[in-house]
Amino acid sequence: MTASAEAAREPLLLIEGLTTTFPVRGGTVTAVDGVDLVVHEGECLGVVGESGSGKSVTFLSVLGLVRHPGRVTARRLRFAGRDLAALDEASRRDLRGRDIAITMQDALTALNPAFTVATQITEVLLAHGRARSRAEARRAAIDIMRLVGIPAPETRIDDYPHQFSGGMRQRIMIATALACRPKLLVADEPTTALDVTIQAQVLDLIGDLRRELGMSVVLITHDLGVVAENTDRVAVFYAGQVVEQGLTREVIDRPAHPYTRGLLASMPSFDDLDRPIRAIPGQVPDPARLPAHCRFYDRCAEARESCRVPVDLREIEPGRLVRCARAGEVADV
Amino acid sequence: MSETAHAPLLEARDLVKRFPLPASFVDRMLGRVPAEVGAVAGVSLAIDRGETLGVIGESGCGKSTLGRVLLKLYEATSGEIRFEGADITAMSEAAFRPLRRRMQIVFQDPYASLNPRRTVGEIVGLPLRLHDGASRREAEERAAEFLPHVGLSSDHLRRYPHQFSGGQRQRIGIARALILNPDFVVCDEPVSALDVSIQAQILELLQQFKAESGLTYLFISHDLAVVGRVSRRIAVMYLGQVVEIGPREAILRAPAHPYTRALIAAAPRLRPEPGVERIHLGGDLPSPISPPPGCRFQTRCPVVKQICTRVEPVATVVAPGHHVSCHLHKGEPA
Repeated sequence: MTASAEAAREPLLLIEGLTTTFPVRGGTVTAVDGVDLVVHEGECLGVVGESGSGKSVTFLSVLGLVRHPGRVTARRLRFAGRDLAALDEASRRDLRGRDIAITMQDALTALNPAFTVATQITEVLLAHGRARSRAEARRAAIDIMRLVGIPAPETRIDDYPHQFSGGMRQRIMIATALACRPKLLVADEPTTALDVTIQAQVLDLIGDLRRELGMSVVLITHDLGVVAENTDRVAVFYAGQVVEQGLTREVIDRPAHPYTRGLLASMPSFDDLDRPIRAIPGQVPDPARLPAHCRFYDRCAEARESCRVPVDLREIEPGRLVRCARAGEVADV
Repeated sequence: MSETAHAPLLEARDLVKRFPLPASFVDRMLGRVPAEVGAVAGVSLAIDRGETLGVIGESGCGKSTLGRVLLKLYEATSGEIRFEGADITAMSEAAFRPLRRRMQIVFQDPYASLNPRRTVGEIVGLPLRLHDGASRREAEERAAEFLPHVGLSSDHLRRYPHQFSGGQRQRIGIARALILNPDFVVCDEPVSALDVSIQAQILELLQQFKAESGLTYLFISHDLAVVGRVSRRIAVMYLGQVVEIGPREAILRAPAHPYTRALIAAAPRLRPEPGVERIHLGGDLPSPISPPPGCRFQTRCPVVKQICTRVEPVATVVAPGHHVSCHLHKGEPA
């Protein structure tokens, strides 16, 4: 996309220079460091990275869910044309759950075990003024449960979370998130705790709902296979930064960052069972002691002395961003 | 060559493991028999020396319980386990002890399976003290020598598990399982808790040990690609039973059981394969407390027939070494 076209149509979510830090004994942990991301209307953005890469904290920060003493700063943070940073807590709260909703990885801990599903879904509807009475909220809740594929929602709505199976519980959480028909759904590892057949059902469901309701989805996951099958664009996180971004198909077929290539090479391939898997040596750097230069330097097979400099995310092709000093030079190895 | 040389290293016949559910007060008053969970419901399989048998299946299918029963960490309810031809099912703990050191396990969760109050030296050295009667010092020295084999260094000896990352902890767990130089190791989801790039490191390490010392693995995982990478043969479990077993190419490329087909179709792929369509399984896994009569998969099977609701299918040979328990397939019983 050219700069002028982008300006003409502002993305639904615009994140620029987002940084989230947490004070720890003897220093600061930078969980998210200068992240730039956009989510367009109606698209599904995959956010992939390993544990501790900052992918979840990025979106918790956007939603204002990072608690004290965590500190969130951003150059620009805009949602649907509004400046998120300028909103007071009440307006932010209003936005959250109504226009931006989030589903957490573990439905069993994210849902309140002491309340029925009916209470938890109707609460969202009533809090955001999407229903005028309890009866109306209950009817809407039953509709949304039916939408996410829960059998016999009229009776199951009075059950408690523990009375549902893992897959059904995940659907309940998605139902809670979708109750107000948000413009953006942030699905944080929605299927990690689920078995593969149930995972496929839940991902298909999110895809169907996205098309039906015309919402945007951010799919946070550690699984590149899930990204490949379900997203339009992808952002690859490493040690608190976005290291590569682009159309999912292109990033997977022609990864430009050595880390993305390493991730792909370390996955066993279904198509070629005997293809040797190549592990990425070493470990993610300690977030309290991040190097000033490229964060992948110590693990990178393609690193040169010239890589020992701070590296910015730069556009190598329209819409394709890479944080590698040697990008372009080594892109087609 | 003697008879036993041809025998598989490990063999299970009609293995059953049931766990009683805690009885309620009313049940006890009325003298009712408590309900039971049939975690493993009649599994027969054989593992040859030096091979890796992969076991796939979803949570609750009994794959972990199977691994533990095979190692006699749980006592089998019925059935038979043979190790090098010898029946170990009812062997006393004392008689089994010399074999115990030859049969080890690597656990899934590197956080929960290491004692946080013990140093790495103590954890890795403990099997030597238990089985070889090594002294504390001797155990620690041999642990120090062994650590480099799992990619750790002897400098790590005095550290505690919390000072290590997940991948390093799994290396500690592997060192503990392999320091006795066992013949048979159950790997129970050894990489599931790890990040992708670290997974590959651990898989490499396990493969390397196998190449060096001719280990035999039972490799339990829910990840088909991982199992396909490391196994020669694969067993597919559903609700306590092996529904299909065969060479990995047969299982992954030409699956015969509708459940295996659904599993394979559901696995996310980097490049969409033409012709592979998602098979939607209705519903969830039925309760292992009261499995349906007939075929256990009937409640979710997309091609269920009348007979499936009444008659339990038996294992049938679809190709040499490829057995499936499904009424769709007619053939010689396995």
